[in-house]
Amino acid sequence: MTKVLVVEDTPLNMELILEILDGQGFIADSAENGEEAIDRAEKEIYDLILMDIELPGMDGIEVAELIKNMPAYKDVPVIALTAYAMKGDKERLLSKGFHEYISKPIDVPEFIKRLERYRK
Amino acid sequence: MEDRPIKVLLIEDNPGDARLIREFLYEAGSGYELEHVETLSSGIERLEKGNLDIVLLDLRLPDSQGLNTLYSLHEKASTVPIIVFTAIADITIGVRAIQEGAQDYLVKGQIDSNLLVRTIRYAIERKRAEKALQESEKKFRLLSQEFHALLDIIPDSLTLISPDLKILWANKGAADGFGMDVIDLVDQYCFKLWQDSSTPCRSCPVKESFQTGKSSKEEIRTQDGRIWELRTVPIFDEMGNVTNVVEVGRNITECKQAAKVKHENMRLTLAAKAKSDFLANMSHELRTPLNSIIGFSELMKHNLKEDLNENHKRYVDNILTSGHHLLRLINNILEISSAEAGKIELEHEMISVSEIIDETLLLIKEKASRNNILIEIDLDPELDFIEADKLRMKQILFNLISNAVKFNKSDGGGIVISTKKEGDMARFSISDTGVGIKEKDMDRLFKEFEQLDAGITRKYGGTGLGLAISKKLVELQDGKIWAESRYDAGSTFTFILPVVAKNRRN
Repeated sequence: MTKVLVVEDTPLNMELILEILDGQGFIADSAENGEEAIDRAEKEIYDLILMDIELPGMDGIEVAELIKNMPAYKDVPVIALTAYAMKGDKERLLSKGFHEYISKPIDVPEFIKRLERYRK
Repeated sequence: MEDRPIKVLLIEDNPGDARLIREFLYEAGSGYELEHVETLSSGIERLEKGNLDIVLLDLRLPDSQGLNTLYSLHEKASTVPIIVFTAIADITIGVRAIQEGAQDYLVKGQIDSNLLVRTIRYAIERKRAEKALQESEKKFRLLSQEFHALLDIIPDSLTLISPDLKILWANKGAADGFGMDVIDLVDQYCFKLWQDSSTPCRSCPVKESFQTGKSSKEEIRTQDGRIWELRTVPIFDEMGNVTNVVEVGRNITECKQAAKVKHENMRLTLAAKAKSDFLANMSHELRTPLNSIIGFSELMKHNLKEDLNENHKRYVDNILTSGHHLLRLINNILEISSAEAGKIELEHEMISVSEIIDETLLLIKEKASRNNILIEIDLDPELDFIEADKLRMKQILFNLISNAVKFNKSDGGGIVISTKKEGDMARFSISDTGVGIKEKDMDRLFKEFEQLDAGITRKYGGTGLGLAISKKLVELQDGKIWAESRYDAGSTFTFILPVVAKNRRN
């Protein structure tokens, strides 16, 4: 089973992503902020991380960097899932080491298609 | 001078007088070397050879008489002091001789050795002092000329002002500043010149300097709107009283304006930054809840199909349509602001006109055929290619053609898409057979959020930003867009773009 960590601070958006993942047969854990995300990543190895960028405290870019620095996460894809959708945001985030960039609002069928690629 | 003998030239035709002079000099010791000639011409000849300290000249010579003798000699050698001999009978001539350039005169018959030697010494010294004075005057004159040239080269206005506030002296800069000649400035009241006033200015740096004996500074605005910075410096006499004041005026109008423009630019930059920050923020904040609205609606639509009745399904579709509409609005608003901020970067490339029209139609054809709208294409064979930004070009065509579909007859309308090469410009026209636009509404067409009545949005959908965006995109590419219409008879939207992009914005 593919295990996904969802880092997202807006409860309704968290619920939406978890619902979709669950519907597609992924196992998902949630983290509401960066500290929680790092805690979880230390305790368990996930196959994929979906990372919101605007978070309370550390932002998603910092959190992703800290997690990517853990030896176990060297090859784990981290996807930016963000409402930052102005010109240049995609390029900016991809240059920060995110594996992929998905803007909000998500297109559900398209989102599901993309998730498929990470199924183990 | 003291070390070597004084070289004396005696011009005297009377042998007795000559002998006497020789004896007097001999009596005075070894400090004199006498040369003797008898005529003016031989005297001049000797003088021209130089190396003489003094000339003793008898005014009556065989070849010249009276003061003329002195003139001729003086003309040849103005640097050598001359002592003239006169007879008792014409002492007045001696005085005249001094006025005309001789250093001194001696009256024949009243000369002795002491007098002669003293007169010679004094004459030489006087001549030397005279020469030194002349040189100093020359230097001063030169310096003064240089100084005035210097003052005139300074673009600032420089004036010397008297205690009764009249101009005593002015440089060229002042003349230029007041638009008058220097000569006309002198004796004018400074307040008359600066403020065209009959009384002194309220805060006057000149008065200030007279009163305090210190430098002062003031900024004034002349009646024609120029701004001057005035600085004053007092000039003192030996007693330490202020005699006059120098005023330096600098025209700082442009400087002030430049500062104002700079300030304004800064303000605009900050305002633009604030606006762009606000938009980025707004975009983010609106997208976040929209993610839930659209996302959950889609989940409901796809995953819960079986559980929904027809009404529920319609409601879900309505939520989705509105959600997507809201998203389109956000995107369009951002697009317009980017265009306004000049932030859109164009990528020019060669575009096949027929291809881009076909590609655009692919996105619209389905809706057009649903409404039985016939699309006719009429391309100018001379306009194969255009150099433009392909994405933007398609966006403009899409907006105009989808409008032509949207606002056409609900069934069986027609659209004509035509192109024409007009000199350097490519012309694209899209005509429809729809409701048309009333004359009074034409002005508002290309403005933001100006669908012509609120009912249109409900009936036709759309954000009301399509034409505003199209206009911005066309203008960004050095083109123009306009509409022609008759109410109830359809509309034609036309835009022109340069065939070859003018300003490449990379």
